[in-house]
Amino acid sequence: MKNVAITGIGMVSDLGRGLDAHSAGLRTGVTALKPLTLFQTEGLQTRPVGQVEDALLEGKPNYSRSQRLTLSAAIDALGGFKPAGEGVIAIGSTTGGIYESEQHYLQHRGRPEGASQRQLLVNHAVGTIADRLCRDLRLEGERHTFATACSSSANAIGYAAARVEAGAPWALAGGVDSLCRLTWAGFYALKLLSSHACKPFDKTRNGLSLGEAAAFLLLEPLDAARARQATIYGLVSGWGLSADAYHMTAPHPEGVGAIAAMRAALADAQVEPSQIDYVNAHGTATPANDKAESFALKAVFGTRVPPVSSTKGVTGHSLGAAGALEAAISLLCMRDSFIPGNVGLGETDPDVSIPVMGPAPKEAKVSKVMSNSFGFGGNNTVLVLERAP
Amino acid sequence: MTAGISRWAAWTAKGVTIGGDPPELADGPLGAWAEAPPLSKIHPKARRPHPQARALVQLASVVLHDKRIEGLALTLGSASGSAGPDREFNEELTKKGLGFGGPSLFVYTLPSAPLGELAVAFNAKGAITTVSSGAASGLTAVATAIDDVDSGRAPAVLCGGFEWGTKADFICLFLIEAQGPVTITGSTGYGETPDGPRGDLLDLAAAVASGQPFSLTSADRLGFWAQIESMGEMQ
Repeated sequence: MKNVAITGIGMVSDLGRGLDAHSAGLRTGVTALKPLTLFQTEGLQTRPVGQVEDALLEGKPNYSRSQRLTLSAAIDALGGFKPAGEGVIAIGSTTGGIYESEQHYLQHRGRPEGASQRQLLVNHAVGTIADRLCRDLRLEGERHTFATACSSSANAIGYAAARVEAGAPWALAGGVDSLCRLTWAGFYALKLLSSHACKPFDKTRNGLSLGEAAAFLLLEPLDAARARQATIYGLVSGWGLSADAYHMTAPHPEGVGAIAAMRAALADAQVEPSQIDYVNAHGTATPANDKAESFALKAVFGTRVPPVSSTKGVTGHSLGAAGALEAAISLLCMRDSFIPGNVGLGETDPDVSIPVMGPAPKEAKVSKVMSNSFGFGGNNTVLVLERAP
Repeated sequence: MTAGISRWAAWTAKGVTIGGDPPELADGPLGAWAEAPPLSKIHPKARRPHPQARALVQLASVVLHDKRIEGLALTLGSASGSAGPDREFNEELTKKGLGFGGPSLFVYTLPSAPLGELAVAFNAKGAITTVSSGAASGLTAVATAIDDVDSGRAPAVLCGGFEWGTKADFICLFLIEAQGPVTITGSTGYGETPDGPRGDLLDLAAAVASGQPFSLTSADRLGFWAQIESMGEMQ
């Protein structure tokens, strides 16, 4: 793909709302993870999370938290632009409005009056996020919602970019997931929640930190973007997909699926590995992911591995939103010429078979970025983003 | 966007049909399937799959019919997604406590989990995607699969959709390849819904089984639609 311009970015996470808040936060080299306050954990040990301040959220009180996060990022991505023609809205999410529906469940379980609280359940399904977004912003276009675990929103961006490349006049693509009791309890049960702010690639890492976020990109054909003199943050130039076909929760230990997705994205972008300036790794800080991902990166890049970092030590893992959030961060690296560090990293795990960034960011010109997203069930999606010529 | 449907199967409360007229959609969970292939035979790597994933693997095994396709992709549509497992996991947390949910059940609270199970079972290493577009979810998945095959992104796609834990559960699967006995085209769009009959995945299975030309469209209230058409010729 060479014709898909990114002309708008919206992002909201524990770092705040907007590009400058994220750029500044990432360049401090300090985690933004904090104690969870959104819901109670019933006496279990608290774990740091990336929680968004309520004051940053758009929308009405009866909207789901995911819908409010989505509106916040989507409004910013559009930046007042009024899309003309029938475009494409593509959203990645894993949990939809479950934060609200689990409140409903807890309040009304087994009680007949639960039926009167249907509003909490109306927004449960992931597809309702796109419905609300299009109604509120009066967007006219196809609505596609992708649920491919932690690669959901990277898939949404890749799909939307392919549609723009094929002739769609515009696309709004990204993803969202809110914190919720279900995912917190699930990762706790899997013993994958870090007891401290997560430390991607660190020798002592012991799991991930959950986060919540929404991030959206406005995509347009490059010629159209130039014709209206839009700010062009970069291009979506490569999209690679694969499945591990290995295990429901564990990545393939040799990164077979990840390697295939990375190579597919590079081929789609017509970019050589040596041209990549920075890899925004999936880097969840689980022992299995970071080891397997480093193995895959070594296979793809050989002895010339570009700077690699995971930004989840700052934002936490926002699951279905992570791919879009990290694509947006990658674009910030191009705009502001820096590479984020692996915040929290002390000593690199000897099992991590590549050199990775230290905890501090560094100044660097960044023109081409690879952004990795890997999910449960072996869903692998890789995006290549590059500076516009 | 053109491709071929080579096999299909459907499962509702009324039972299972393979490659013929689908069973009627009826209220309730999936009906009994006495001849269902045992999981130990078709998916020996399975650990503790949720019944939703187990049913998908069983029906997929008869659609794939022992075919092993290098780079097979999976695309399924679902409006309800993981609502059933979500409810079950919340029930488990309520009974056992927040820290004691079952890890194996938690995995299936992802709408994409059944596809992960299918990928492991059938060594499908192409893209695996769950799409949700309300009432148009199923035909959107089929249209996307046709595009993936037509564009060369995938050699074959097992596609269709499922609803689980709803008023009327069903699974309906199609194998889309470049060539097949029934040639179909697919498209998605927004705005005025194309003229012609409305339908869903079970209607698509019936139309394919008829061998006659057909056009089926599903649309939602906000103007999004997906359409599958066939000239009806049998190759």
